[in-house]
Amino acid sequence: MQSPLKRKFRERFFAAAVSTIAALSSLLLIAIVFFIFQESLPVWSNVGVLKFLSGANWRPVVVPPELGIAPMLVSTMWVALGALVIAAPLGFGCAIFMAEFAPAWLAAVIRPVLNMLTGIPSVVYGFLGAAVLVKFFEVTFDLASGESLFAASLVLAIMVLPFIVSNSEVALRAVPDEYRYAGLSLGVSKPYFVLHILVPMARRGMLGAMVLGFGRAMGETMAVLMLAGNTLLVPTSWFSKGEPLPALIALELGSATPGTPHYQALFAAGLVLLVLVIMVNLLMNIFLRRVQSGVNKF
Amino acid sequence: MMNTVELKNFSTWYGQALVLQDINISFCNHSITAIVGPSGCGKTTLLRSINRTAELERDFTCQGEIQVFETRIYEAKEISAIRRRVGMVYQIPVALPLSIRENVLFGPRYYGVNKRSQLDNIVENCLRKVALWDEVKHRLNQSADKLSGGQKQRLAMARVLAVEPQVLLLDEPCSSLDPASTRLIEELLEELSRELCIIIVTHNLPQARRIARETVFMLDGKVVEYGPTAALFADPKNEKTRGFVSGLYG
Amino acid sequence: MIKRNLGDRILVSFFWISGLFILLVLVAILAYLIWRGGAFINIDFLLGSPEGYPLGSEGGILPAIKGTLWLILLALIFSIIPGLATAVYLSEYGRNKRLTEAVNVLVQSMMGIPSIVVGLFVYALCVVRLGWGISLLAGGVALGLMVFPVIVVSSRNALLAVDDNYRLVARALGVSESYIFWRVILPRAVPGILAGILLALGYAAGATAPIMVTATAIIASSSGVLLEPVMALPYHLYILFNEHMSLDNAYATALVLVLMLVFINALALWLHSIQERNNA
Repeated sequence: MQSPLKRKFRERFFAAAVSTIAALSSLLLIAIVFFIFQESLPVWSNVGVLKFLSGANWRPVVVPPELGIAPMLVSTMWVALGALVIAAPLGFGCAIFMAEFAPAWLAAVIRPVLNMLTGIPSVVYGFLGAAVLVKFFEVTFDLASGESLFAASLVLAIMVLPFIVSNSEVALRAVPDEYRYAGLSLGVSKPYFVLHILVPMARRGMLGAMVLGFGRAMGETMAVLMLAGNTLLVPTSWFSKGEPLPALIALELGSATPGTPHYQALFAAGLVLLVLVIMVNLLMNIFLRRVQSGVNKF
Repeated sequence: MMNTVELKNFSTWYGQALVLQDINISFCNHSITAIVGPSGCGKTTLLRSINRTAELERDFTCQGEIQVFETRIYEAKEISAIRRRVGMVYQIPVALPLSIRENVLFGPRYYGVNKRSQLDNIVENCLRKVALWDEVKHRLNQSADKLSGGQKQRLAMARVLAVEPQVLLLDEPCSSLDPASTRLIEELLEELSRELCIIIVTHNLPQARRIARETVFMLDGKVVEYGPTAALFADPKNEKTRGFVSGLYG
Repeated sequence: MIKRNLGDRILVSFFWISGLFILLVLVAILAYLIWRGGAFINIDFLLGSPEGYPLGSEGGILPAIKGTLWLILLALIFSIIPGLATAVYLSEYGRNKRLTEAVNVLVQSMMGIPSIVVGLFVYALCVVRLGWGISLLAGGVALGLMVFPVIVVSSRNALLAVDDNYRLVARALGVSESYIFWRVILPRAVPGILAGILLALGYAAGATAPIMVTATAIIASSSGVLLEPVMALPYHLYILFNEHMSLDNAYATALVLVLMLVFINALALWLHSIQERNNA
């Protein structure tokens, strides 16, 4: 039997250790943001936020350097929005299927499959996209090279699909059964009920799922690196080539000498990406919080 | 008296569990029948079987036959047509996430009514039938969430009446309501029973005595006794019924 | 009415198609990789070193497998203890609602950080400032940072899923909170926590972006020296394809990587189902 004093001391120690580690760990995010900000500081003061974001030329090693990330920013948005346009209808369809129409056994098969799909590394998606999809475009449409924002969007859509499906399904299942009974016992068909009652009730959660997918698509590196074509021009259509921010950083970081404007500008680009993604995440938090207090409110 | 709803050797299961066992019963038109019994005796499942919403639960299976106005409902192809003819109001008042007006019109719009004058008529008629018209006529386009529990329950009834059912099923419609709302709904049911066959599941024995012409007592998935309400309460034929109505269990 | 029926049919078909599409995607990926890469996987491939000219166009992937294992190991060493401590704080000690909420939001946001940004941070801090250079150690730190929020969230959920009644019952016996935690709560949450760690492990094994800027080289021996660059499976796949070294080896490498991750994920799912059964 331990002495009570010793036990009490041990418990205090454990609590203090856990709290300290938790506090330090949660400061990590702030540390990352701050550190990247600090590395990129000269860019903000020398070039200016607006000029950096809207500049159409990226010539980081000429003297004086031209540092504008507009082409990459546009590519990032275009690729991610494109992915969403493809993935959202399919994802919502699949979520509705699993929540309302699929036989129980089939839903039980699809759920782990979604997990497997999220487990496949992005480099494999990128590789398959480049080796199969891009080849297919080249052969079918007789192109010199089949890489494009569209190809990247297509592969990103497959990658974010599981996230959209599983989060939307949660939102749909959160609608209490009473609404199903009340709606269906009026003699309307199931699809009618789904479209007119269920989806409107779950729409916040489904929007949240979409926003989550958007954030994922924006920050994804390997697929866009291997598929988007990597040119520094402002894309003019979905079928242009482009170089989204993550690809820019991955390609140029190794060759940028620390302390040069090139190096600093890559950190500025990283900060822009980070701020975009964090904003998207906060937006989703707001959506999801509303869902939690929303659906069961009635 | 014409039999409107008739169950013949009807049994149901959830998975392996037998919920209703060999039910034989017929319900009369233009009257209120109450189903009473302890929790878990299968009365709600019986009710839900009659408009084919019991099968929305997992692993529901059934055997035997239910006829509604001579239609064998478990042989019908169009489930939604059956549900339309047999309306149901649930224990928890549910306002669909629409305006008050659109709640009432949810069914009619689906069935293709789209003339404005016709729609207006349906809204006013149905809300008048459930005595809600005067309370809400100036705010028909507001969200139905804002109504009180009693109002929501009457709105649910109006919503069901709007699809012109022949049978109205109610599953403990007053259990979450205050006495005043309960009283109001009971009056409405007596009024509606002139046109409809009404079957109500209730936990509240005084309520059954007040409004039901006939009462069914169920226990463990079987019908134990069925007869005129007054007789069933005053002079039960079965020992178990006697125990239940005198409050021994329930 | 006929129009409505037709509309309903089209909708329901669309729901079915999108559901089955998901299955098709996984089956297609696996089948295609097995078809193109299956024949090239053998003992020599798994246990051989890159050969040929350019180096890697022939031969095996052993250094890449070794490098990936080293990277995972370091990532877990760096992330498990802080991750678990944070999870325990959130589930057991978080009495200060505001603070818990803040930690939750921060961790949740960390989960959303693009992996390339984590790489960028570690590159500036470890590779450049601390002078480690492109190294196994820097890659381990990057992957550790990346999986840390995954471990926090899954362990927190596993701990919170334990029935509150245990806490209630145990408290009534007059024992302390931490005694309850060690004797009752933690054991019930172990499968869920392990599932989360496996998930993190798989996530780290497949990540490419953060290690390609901090840890990897095209050819390295990957013998576990902390301050040397390593090879890693996902990066090796990228190089094989991008530098047009060998498409056959690329398919084989992709297949190895996918099979490994599908296995890890299946294991995690199985543990997760145990956790759910425990706390049903």
